[in-house]
Amino acid sequence: MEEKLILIYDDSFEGILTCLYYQAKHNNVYTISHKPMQKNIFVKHVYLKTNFKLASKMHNFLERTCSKNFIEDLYYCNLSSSDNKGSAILQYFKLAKDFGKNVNKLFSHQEAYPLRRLVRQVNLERHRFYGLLRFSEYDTFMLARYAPDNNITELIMPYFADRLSCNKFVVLDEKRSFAGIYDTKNWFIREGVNSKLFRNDDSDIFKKLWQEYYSSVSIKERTNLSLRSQHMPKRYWKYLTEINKEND
Amino acid sequence: MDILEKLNILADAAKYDVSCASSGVTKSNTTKGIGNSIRSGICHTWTSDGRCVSLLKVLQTNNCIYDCKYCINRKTNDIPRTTFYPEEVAKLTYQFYKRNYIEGLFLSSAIEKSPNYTLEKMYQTVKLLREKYQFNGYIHVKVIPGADLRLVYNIGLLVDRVSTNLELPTQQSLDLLAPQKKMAALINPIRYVANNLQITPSIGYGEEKFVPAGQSTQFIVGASRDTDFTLLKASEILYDKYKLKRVYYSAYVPINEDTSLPALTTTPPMKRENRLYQADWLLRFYHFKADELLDSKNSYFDEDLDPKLFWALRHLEFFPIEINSANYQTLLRVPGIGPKNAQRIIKERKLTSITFQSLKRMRVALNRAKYFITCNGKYNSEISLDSNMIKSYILENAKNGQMSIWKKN
Repeated sequence: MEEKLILIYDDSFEGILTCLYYQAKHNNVYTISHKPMQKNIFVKHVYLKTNFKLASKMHNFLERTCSKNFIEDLYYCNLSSSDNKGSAILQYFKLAKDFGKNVNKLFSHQEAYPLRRLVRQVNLERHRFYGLLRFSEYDTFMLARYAPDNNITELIMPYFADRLSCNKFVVLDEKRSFAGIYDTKNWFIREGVNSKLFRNDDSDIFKKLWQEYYSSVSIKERTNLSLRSQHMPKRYWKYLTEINKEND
Repeated sequence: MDILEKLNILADAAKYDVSCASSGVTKSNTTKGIGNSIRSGICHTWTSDGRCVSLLKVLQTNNCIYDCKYCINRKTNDIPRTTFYPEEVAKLTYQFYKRNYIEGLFLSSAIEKSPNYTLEKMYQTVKLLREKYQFNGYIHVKVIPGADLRLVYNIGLLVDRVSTNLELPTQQSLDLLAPQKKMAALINPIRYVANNLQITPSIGYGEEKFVPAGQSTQFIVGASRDTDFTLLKASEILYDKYKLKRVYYSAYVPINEDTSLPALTTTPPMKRENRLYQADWLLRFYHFKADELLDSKNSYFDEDLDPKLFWALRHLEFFPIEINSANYQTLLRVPGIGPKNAQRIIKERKLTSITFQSLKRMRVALNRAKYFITCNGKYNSEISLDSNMIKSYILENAKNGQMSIWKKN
């Protein structure tokens, strides 16, 4: 019997595709992780270097045998912050061997579910930040800071690029030091951006108007704070212009 | 009066209108403009009462010639009065939108001078937004009953959604609480919009497209003696006959003292409002009819049970149904199963059989569903199919905090 392996990759999408290529070739991958795992004496740890050529081969193969949706699911899952995303992707990939294109129709299947759950979380957070991201005027552009659970900056950039169209803007993920930058034509991601580069400007009159507006629209006879936190978890509040002031 | 003061007054007076959805239309931005929309709508924040804030909701003015007893703006109330200039609202919307505070504008108004005068001012506001500010975000305008229908048409070409609030479902209730309002006059713009919706071809945004996100209305719940059955029947007619996109229900918050109104100490009937919303969803997405849910003898919902459960417990002959073979319509009748999960079940069971474990992973509300289903012939609840038993089990679980009344469906 061939020895089982744990593949460690660099968190990139091409990285995970390289791992899947390896699994397709050798069929001996025990699990995949983007973080070093606790040593297990029965399986060998291998740091697998991302290979763009093999990744693109895998990509084409998946497009042919599964579907674009399938690849998108892997892609979304890989943006999750979960430690188990590598193994969820591997499980789902193995399932596709049996079900082919039909794998997309499986939701609650034991081997599909871990990936579905993570994809749903990433999707939910993407949708939430369409609404919860807050821009302020900064110099010649609009600036938004946030700290999402998952690495969703590249998912929300196309949406805001369409929305703000002729306004330049920067979306800053302070947790990962990632910046999404839009120059009115294209957008791109820059890594290792220090958030201290930008100082907060508190003189914006519309910020104040928004805070006032927010406090005036609540109906006090209907107060239901737990319902609010259910929709808008407290971990997101730090960056919300309207709640900062309220302080509760 | 400065803009901050005006905003305080005119936002505060608008908050009792519960509609705030930005849903129903998908459109991309234009090259020089600002803004887009997606069909599902987007919430930008939630108020401390837990309601989603999607749109900047303000009145053009709170100066009113009417004297509706339930309304904060009735002319006999002694409150600060003010009016926004169209430019003020347009600029505020644009600047809020740019900062991603909102999805767009919800513009309503008290009736200042005359319906035409008022709606004309609102027209100027949205025209400024669309033309001067090149704003492509969402706009919802409240139609003023009694205004010239040509004006309604012109507004309809600029905005995404319009609404006319009926507030009360019968003429008797209107006579009692809003004597200046006539049902026929309220229905008139609704019928007009519905007719124009049907004849306008669906072409891309920016060209002539009449209220692409349709129209809506609102009922106040608990100000009059109208029953749940009366309200739900009225909603059903509005959906079927006038193709409304949404009917909103607003638990009445007592603001004014009047012998024909509930006392000021009455708490808003929040649970009742919630049950009506759930029943409304059953009409729109679950193929239920109002007559199935209530009748003239049982004219109110049970506040302890969601309307689908309320229905199911009176129709046990329908259950249990087999998850692996029941059709879509039948699956939708099971308490705890919604359209999304019904679709998932249908897709997935062609490939593999569905078990209780699968349903749990789909997040079907098994605490309710389990009494009404079998999986591969297996019935998986501790009690038999008996309506009193099921009711007491479910309520017991609810008491232990397993079921929140806020969970829809």
